[in-house]
Amino acid sequence: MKRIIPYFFILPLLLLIFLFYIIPAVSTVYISATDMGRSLKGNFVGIKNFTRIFSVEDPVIGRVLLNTLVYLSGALIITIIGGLLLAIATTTLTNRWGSFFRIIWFLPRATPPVVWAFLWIWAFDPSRYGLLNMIFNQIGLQGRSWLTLYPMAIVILANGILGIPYTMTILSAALSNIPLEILEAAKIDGASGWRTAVTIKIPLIWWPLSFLIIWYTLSFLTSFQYILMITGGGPFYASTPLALYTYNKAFQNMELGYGSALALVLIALSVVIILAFRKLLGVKRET
Amino acid sequence: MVKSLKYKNIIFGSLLLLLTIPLMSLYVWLLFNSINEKPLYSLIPKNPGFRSWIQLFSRLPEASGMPTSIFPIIKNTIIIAGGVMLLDLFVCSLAGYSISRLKFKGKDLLLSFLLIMKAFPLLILLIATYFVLFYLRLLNTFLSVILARTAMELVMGTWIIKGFFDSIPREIEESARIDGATKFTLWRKIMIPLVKPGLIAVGVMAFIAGWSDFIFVYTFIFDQSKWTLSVFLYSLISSQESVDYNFLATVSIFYMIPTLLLYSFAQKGLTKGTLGGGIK
Repeated sequence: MKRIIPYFFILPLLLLIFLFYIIPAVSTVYISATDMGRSLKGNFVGIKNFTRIFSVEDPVIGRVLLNTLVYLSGALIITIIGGLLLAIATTTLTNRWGSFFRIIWFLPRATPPVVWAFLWIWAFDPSRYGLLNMIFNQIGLQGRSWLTLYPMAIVILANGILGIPYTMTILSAALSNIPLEILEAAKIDGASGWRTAVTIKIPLIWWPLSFLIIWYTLSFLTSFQYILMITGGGPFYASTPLALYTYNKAFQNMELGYGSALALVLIALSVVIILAFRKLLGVKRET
Repeated sequence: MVKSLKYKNIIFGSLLLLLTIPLMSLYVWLLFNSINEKPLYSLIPKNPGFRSWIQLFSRLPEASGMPTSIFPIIKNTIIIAGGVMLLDLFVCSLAGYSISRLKFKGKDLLLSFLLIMKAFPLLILLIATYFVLFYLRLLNTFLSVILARTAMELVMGTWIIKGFFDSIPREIEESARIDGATKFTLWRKIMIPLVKPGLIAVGVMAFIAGWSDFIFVYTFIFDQSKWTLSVFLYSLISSQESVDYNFLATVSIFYMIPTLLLYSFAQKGLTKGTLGGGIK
């Protein structure tokens, strides 16, 4: 009896893991080998879904993969560089101003996804009521329909900026843990502020920094809800990365079999990229 | 020395302002539009008024296929958010305790599995989750969203609560055990009250997650009568009819007030909890 008790405590957790991770993971593999559609019943088709991905049968897949690369690198650069800049700046500033900016930059994290998406849709709205067009009109320029002209750039901005608050929080904490003596010593040796940042601060926070890079790589690779809401992936796949393509194939075209195959490719891609990053960034298991 | 510090402040301050002004203007734009009678096309609200706020709580603006009252939508949102909160607290407080205090086979395996789960977002498995929910006859129910959301949140919650349990000295349990308490009473009567700050923080985060969920409600729920604020707002945004910007801004502000308040509350609680949780 005594041996069983711990399992009662862990049972609800195991049940949810089983229902929402293990069964779906196995089912994804199963569904990817079928032609499952709207009826949620499928016939076994073997690797046909995968040959469809990797041959010319799907004409947009090349475009989608390229989009994935552009979107991922763009959003990652904004999140990491933006967060790093803000972290360095807010920790260097005197406390009151530092915390003022920290509060403002905490807003995006507390904003529900739909509202966040709406802020961006509205900022780039083609009518004169859009924020950017309003500013353009005020300074005597013609408004534009930004969302059709630069869909990818807008989607990258919206996702990249959303990552800044978390990056900033983690990196600020890491920066304020750097012993003051090291910074004092650098100052006595005559290192400029910029040099201190590049040669001392960044190497000392390398571990959290590489954690964030890997974390956000995964996050940007697999998240699609903001793109779905802001541009819907269009116009004509111009802002569709793999994750959104998977979702649209599955739930708009109701091609669940093909969607699952795409999801598996996405998982494989994530694993490869993470292993590459681990090697590249020299992440080792440290204390 | 003082001079160089001031100089530095000015440089960093203006850099920060440069980055922050665009972000702030997005929110200011939203706020000003919600308290103006007509959509703004300059930065100053020229016809201030609460027309859209009154509309929000009386009769929603006419649009084909849209709900007429906000209250059922608020109720649905609360059901999902509350459901996620309760379920998450139940699962995480039990699991956090057992991982922190009890010995069982497969614990190491579970721990490393939790880490992998944290790294791979559940959204990758969305198609198969849909399939599973279909077979459980749960599609188009609140429960489907509550379960899926909780599954997404529970790794973090378990981890935080485990940390709080870790900080409680073992002597407290030992003395209760000598008094003959079973493991379950021990957990309920002694341990749970001690990790209250952790539970509050995890509960609030779970509530926010349920409150702001979009993708699960959008994918798993088909009936308009079960819409939450997120899907309602999204339908307004993507509707083909002419858009009432002031009303959209008002719904957005109304929708984000609870998350803002709760977020700042949880943030405070979490720091306080981790700092003051350990008994001297």
